[in-house]
Amino acid sequence: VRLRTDVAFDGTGLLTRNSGAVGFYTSASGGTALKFDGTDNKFTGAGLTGSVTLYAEGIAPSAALDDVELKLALSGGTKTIQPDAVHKMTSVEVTLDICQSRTAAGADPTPLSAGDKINVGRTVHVQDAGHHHGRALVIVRQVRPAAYAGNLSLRPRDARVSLFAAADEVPAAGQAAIANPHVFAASTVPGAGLKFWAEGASVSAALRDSGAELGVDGVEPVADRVTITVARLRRLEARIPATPAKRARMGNSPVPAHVLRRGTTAAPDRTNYDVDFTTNPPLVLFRDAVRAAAPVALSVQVEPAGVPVRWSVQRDTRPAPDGDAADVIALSPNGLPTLTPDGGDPLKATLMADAVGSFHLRPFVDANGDNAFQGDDAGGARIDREPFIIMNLVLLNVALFRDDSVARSANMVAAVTGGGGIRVTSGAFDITAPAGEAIHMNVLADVVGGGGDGRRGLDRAFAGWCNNEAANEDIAGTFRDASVAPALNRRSFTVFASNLAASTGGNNTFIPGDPAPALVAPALLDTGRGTPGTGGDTATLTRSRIRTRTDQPVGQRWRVESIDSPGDGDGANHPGFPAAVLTRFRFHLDFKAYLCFWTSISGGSGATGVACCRVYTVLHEYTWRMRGEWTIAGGALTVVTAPSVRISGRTTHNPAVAAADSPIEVRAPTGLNLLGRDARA
Amino acid sequence: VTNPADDSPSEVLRATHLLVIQIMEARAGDWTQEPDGLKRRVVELRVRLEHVWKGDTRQKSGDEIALAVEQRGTGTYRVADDYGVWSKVEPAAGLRLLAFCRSSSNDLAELLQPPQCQQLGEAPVAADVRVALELEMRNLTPAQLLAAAAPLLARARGVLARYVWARVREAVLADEKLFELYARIIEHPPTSAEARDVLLTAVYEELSLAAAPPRGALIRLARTMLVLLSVPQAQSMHANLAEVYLPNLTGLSHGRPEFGPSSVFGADGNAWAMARRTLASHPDWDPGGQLARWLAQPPRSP
Repeated sequence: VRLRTDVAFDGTGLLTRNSGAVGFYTSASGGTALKFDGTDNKFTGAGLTGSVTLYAEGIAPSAALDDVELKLALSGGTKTIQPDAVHKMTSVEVTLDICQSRTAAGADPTPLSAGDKINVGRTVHVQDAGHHHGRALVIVRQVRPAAYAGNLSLRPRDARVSLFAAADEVPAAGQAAIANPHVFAASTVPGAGLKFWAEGASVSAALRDSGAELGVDGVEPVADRVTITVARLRRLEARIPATPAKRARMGNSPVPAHVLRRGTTAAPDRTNYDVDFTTNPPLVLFRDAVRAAAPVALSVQVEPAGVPVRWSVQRDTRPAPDGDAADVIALSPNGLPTLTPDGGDPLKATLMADAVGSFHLRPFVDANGDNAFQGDDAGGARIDREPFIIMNLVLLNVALFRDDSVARSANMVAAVTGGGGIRVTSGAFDITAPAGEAIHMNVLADVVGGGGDGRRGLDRAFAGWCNNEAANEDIAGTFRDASVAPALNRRSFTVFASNLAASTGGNNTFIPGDPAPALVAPALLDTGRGTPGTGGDTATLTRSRIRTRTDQPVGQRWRVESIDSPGDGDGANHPGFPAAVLTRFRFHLDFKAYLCFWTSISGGSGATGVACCRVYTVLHEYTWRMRGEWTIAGGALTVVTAPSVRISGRTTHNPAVAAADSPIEVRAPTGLNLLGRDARA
Repeated sequence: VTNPADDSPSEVLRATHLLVIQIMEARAGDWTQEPDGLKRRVVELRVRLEHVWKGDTRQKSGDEIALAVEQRGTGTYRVADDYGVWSKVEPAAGLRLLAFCRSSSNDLAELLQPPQCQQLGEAPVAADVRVALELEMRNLTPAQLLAAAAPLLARARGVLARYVWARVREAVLADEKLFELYARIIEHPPTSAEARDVLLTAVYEELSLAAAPPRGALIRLARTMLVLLSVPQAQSMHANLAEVYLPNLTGLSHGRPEFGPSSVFGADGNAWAMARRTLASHPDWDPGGQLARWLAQPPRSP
């Protein structure tokens, strides 16, 4: 506002106003506000002759157009004074709001306060190609006075944010951002305001470095603004502890944990934000596969630093057939697995596998302060999702339906070999003909995953019989040595030794002059698989298999079976003292069989290396043993202990337990790789 | 022979080729140590094709081929696994073997190598297969097959029993009369132990997986199991019957019996008494006494 006279003036001029809606200052920014106290609004003629400049600022909106009247009245001096100079002004108020995220479809989100919309701002996630992320509601309020006839100008503060029209709450292909700037008549803003949606286009370099600005076109380019942080959650990681070796030895430890990550690509990968279990393949674990002492360790990274992150786990509640069936949910007393945010680091949390069904594990930014993630509402309607990244999760339940395991003593047979040795056999290792084998490990187990049919995740689940040699073997030949006087008995018996290379008797036999076997204590894994004990079915018997997977109304019923038919024997003469002749042979073996379950997200049953082939649970276990003893004389056998194969101590765990909580050994070395004979005496 | 199906319970039906061969000459190489701890050797064979019982071969009966096969093992008497089909036999001149093969090839040299060659059987197995093939050739109905097989199963091993089961499985589960015939073969004392074991466990497992197993079949099978407890020729199965199969079949292992002894025995008090006496004389079969308590419920009169 410029005050001046048309000729040199030697009186005074008094500036007055009829309303406080507009304030006047001595400089464009800062400066001193005029109090209109009769002193600071009284100007000298000399000043007015040279021109006095003041700066007007709207303080309150005008009640009507031109309702602020400014008057300059001259007095005194030697010149003739013309009538007062009068001008009218309008103080225009524009408001731009940004809202929290919705809590449900149809429920309008709450605008941030005038302070928070600047100082806290709103966080949105950078949009992905699949349009999974939510937009923030931005509202242009009706101008005051409403009769203002000028234009308004709305624009994003920078390229990190794009603005969309009111109809485009849910992002979709083909939607175009509004013009930048978007200029529109103030008169088009309705009483409830004009809505727009702000979407993250690229990640912020710092908190609140982006936003939206509202100006009065041709008057003030930034009359109000809101701040926005465009975040990206990335590198969501689940570290699943593997089943440790029961005894750390011979290079079998530490057992590497499985690490599963989502959001590792340079640009956001659409699959990492999808609730669909096919598009975004889940981590699949058996219930209680991890222990409280070593839960799944979760972590996530966020850009820019400082964005507050919370953790959420939600069940798949989509309508059938996607969401979990009631019978699935009822299998565990826990509706959700236990998720525990780290007390000191919000980017970390732990997870227990203590529920059953399909879940969405999400680190998220709580954009409405309710400490819960909202994405789609309970009816499945999509809302303005809070920033998130997803790791889908399926937790499987397994229960024993029936144990049909049997031992068949009749198949344990001893026979004299040519020359006076003995051979004990107990079958042919033919899984298709188990009636001919020493033991048929054989159960029906009910396995339930997620979804409406309880079968989600089952194609990533496996089972098998893991056998341990539970005690030192007692397979021993007694040889009568009559070449010495007095005649004495010599022995050759099986041992588990780590120094088999030091034996010189052939076939891992320690004979006189050899060092003592370096004994390795059981329990030892018993399998003939390659790379034994490295995960998946390498911990199971070679013949172990899932014979059938039969669909049930919910889940599947699996028949999991294996056979084992160990055999051994001795030659007619002692390995270290050839003059000694076999007179007696004992065959005692003690095993512990465990019915184990594991998963592999690659869909392979072996040591795939991927989550979670090294994480075992145990559903059922028992002891089985073989006993038989014979004397040999004159080419004939006499039974001392009748051959028998017996199962005892059948124990079912319901629910199945982490293998780490069971005596099972799933890691190398195997008994077979350590098996030798001590024939030194 | 039809239906060379992968999932048939019968190795006779699964095989595309059943070939009788004789080893004319065998020269075994030296055992060498393998990284997995096992030993390996190659045996060079001259093999004569004697008979083609099933499938087509390029070679004719009487043709000889040279073949090198691999044997694996511990090098000792210790056997802890299936080391391969040729590791289970001692190839020596004069040995006759029946090869079970599954392949689209018609070349003997290919057919006799694993995995095409799935099993090598010696004389007893061959006898079973010959009987199975003779039955197969007759195109019998399930009832006729059961009647014809019943006496043959007295001398049979598992191969014939699995063939019989594969051929009558669906009919037996659908027809009470056929189920009765089947059950009587299992109970028949002269039926061989291995054949009995195969026939009983096959139907038991089938009923276990059925969505709605026929109640009549369950009850009839329970009776068979209880009858067998008193059959000396079934001695090798007794413990498994009492400790595993009967508790599972009746529902006792779940603590919820699905039927009682009255359903099993009807008015046949003698059979009921026999079962109780047998069980009482073998307390080790039923250490918890659950089967005895279940049997203690007296049968009702019809």
